[in-house]
Amino acid sequence: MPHPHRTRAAGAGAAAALVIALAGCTAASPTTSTAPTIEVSVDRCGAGWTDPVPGAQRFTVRNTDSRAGEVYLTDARTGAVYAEIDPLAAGATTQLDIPLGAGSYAFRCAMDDEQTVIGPAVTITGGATTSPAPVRAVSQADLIDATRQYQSYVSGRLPLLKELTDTLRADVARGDLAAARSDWLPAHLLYERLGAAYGGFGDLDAAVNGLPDGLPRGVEDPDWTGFHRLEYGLWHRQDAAALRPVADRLAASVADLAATLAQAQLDPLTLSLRAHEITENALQFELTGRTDYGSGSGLATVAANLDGTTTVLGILRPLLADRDPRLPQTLTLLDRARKDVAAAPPLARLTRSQREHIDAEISQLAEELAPVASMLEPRRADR
Amino acid sequence: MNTRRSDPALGRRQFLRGAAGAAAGVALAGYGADALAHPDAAQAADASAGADRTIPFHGRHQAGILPPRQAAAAFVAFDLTVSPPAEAADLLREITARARFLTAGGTPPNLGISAPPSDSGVLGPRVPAGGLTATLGVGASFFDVLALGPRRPVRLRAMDTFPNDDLDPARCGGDLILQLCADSRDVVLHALRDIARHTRGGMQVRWRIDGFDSPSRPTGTSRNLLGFKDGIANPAPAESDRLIWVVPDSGEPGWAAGGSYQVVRVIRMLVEFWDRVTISEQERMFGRRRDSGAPLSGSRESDAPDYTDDPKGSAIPLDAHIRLANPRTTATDASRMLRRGYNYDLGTDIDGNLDMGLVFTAFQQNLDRQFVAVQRRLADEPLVDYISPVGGGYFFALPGVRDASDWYGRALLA
Repeated sequence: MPHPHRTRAAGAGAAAALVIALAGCTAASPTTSTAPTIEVSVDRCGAGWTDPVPGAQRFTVRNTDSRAGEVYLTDARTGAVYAEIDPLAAGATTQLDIPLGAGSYAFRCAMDDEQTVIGPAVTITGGATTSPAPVRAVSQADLIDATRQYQSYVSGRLPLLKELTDTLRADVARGDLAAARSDWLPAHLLYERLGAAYGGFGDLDAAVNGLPDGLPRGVEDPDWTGFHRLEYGLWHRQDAAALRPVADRLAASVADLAATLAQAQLDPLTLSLRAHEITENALQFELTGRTDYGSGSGLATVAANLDGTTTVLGILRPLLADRDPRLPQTLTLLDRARKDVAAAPPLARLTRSQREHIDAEISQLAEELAPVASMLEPRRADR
Repeated sequence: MNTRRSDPALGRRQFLRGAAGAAAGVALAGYGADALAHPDAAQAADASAGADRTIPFHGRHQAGILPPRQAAAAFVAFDLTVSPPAEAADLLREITARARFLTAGGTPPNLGISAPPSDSGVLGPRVPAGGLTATLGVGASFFDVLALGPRRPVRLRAMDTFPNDDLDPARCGGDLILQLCADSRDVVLHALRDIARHTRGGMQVRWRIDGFDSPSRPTGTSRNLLGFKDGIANPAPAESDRLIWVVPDSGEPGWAAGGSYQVVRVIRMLVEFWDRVTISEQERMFGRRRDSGAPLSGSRESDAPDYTDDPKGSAIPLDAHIRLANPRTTATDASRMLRRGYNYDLGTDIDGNLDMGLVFTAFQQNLDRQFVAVQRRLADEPLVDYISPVGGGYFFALPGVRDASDWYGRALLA
């Protein structure tokens, strides 16, 4: 399957006057206590918050600088982030609704190409309002370190992937398609376990694991290559002569993965996004049966995808441990879902009840994993 | 794989994120438990469509049964994916919390940067109440999955197959039915998206059909897609304790008091065929004038059909739909039920014929005495050539959620 992965939306400065409407104040406090206008700039970061009271806040946030930037509302003591506006263009104004209870707060302004500036600390006392849970910012450096660890893990798996793919190629070369059908699965599943690395493989990901979607001739299209193309042939009575070039090309593409990965600059966002996107892809492409070209291995692929998610969360764990209070439950659910999927019969043979059960587990898992990307988005905290 | 079981090691609430937000709502007009006492007020409030209105969520009975049909509806059947009753209770608590917020409206909680936004935003930054009602029912299989057989309402079972049915099992049954109705379609879809998001691990959609209520044209009861006014002869609010609600000491389990048997039938209408039928034959099949809704024995929609001096059916044929459904005799009076159907449109079938019809929905005190008895009388009526029941189910609409500490099914599961 193709592995659509997000690139980060255009950064601050690239977008003009993009209005970010943050979700509103709490339901419990429908009235707005104050409505100060807050300045965002290097020189006057946070200026304008003069009458702090507890309750629902509606800040009008105005970038009075000549540069675009990002602005955070933080805990003045710890620097943990309550809310962000990213980006805020020069001259742009937007609104920030948030409930705030007793505490000490400060705006932090991160203008493009400038050091971050922390505005004056503002103290709110009293009141029954509870602020949203603040999250300590994660830096690019933290994420780069995690990404390197993951890159190293994937590099370590590639020799085995090459070995398994070469076996598959040899099966096809000598015309033993029964052996090829049985050797196809372990090779493909190993690739599916590397679910956060595809960005590092560049165009090779499509060559190794692409679908015929978007090709004018569909499954007959000569530009369709990779594991699923071979699967289609192996399970649709295509002969060895027709499949030899397919297997050769697959093996060649897999052989190129290591060199490509070694040169790749993995976006540090990749790992946290993939933490839930691997599951999103499984929901979209595997549980729907869309990627089954004959082998009936969709659920085995899901299990491999969940292995990949487990690996990613293992590497991110130090970053999540004090940020995500639900991490233990998420890991338990991930483990259980993986076991249930691995134990299930092929997708086409599931009873309705079994399918609902698996859909429930995987879609709940996607909900649990979604906050990871939010909490681990890199936020500027330099200086 | 063994499904519908739960690993005790997993612990409860694992299948929900449990981020239910509650909100204070301002009641503008309503039909809750007290609506029976003020039927006139309920009727008058209907004129407020267009403005945001709140139908109170709390009450002895669920709010989405008695009031006039809102403009838009979704009927969504779910299957449980949990089986311990304690987990089902958590699920129903979560649905309650979502429904309480959504029907009141309010500003969704700001989760800061710890998660994606708590609300889809499709209704803007502040969620309007939108005349939303969320009516939850349970099917017979709900009691099987939870091993709560003895608590099942005595007449609740899988939907009967009637002689003229053409049922698709994939569109029948369900452990739960959620009926969302609101003044506009976006409010219905927002509510469905929200509730599904909060309950993914606990239940999965089995089938769904959306419906719409046509405007009154030109006056009176709205029309179905055969062009006839539908729902003219519904029980009066004062008859509810006799015809709609399960009452205490009626042979039903004690928890069921205040609830109601709900029948949902997805009935396709073969509209191309229908449109090739003469008007007099159409009117004889229904027993009413198409334009005015008047019974063939009268002249206005509000006229009661009179069969006493028409024993041979010369005014209203003996096999006319309204005459079979409600013969208006003392013996059949207790078989009347509250119908609250919606029109549906599902596009076209493989041959290009329009796939549209009626989501027939009825609420009643006694499934067999009311819907089933009427359906038996209707067997092989002339109208069956033009309609085709394809899906649906029997459900039991739970008693109302009384107050802020109550939840759907508390008396059943607590």
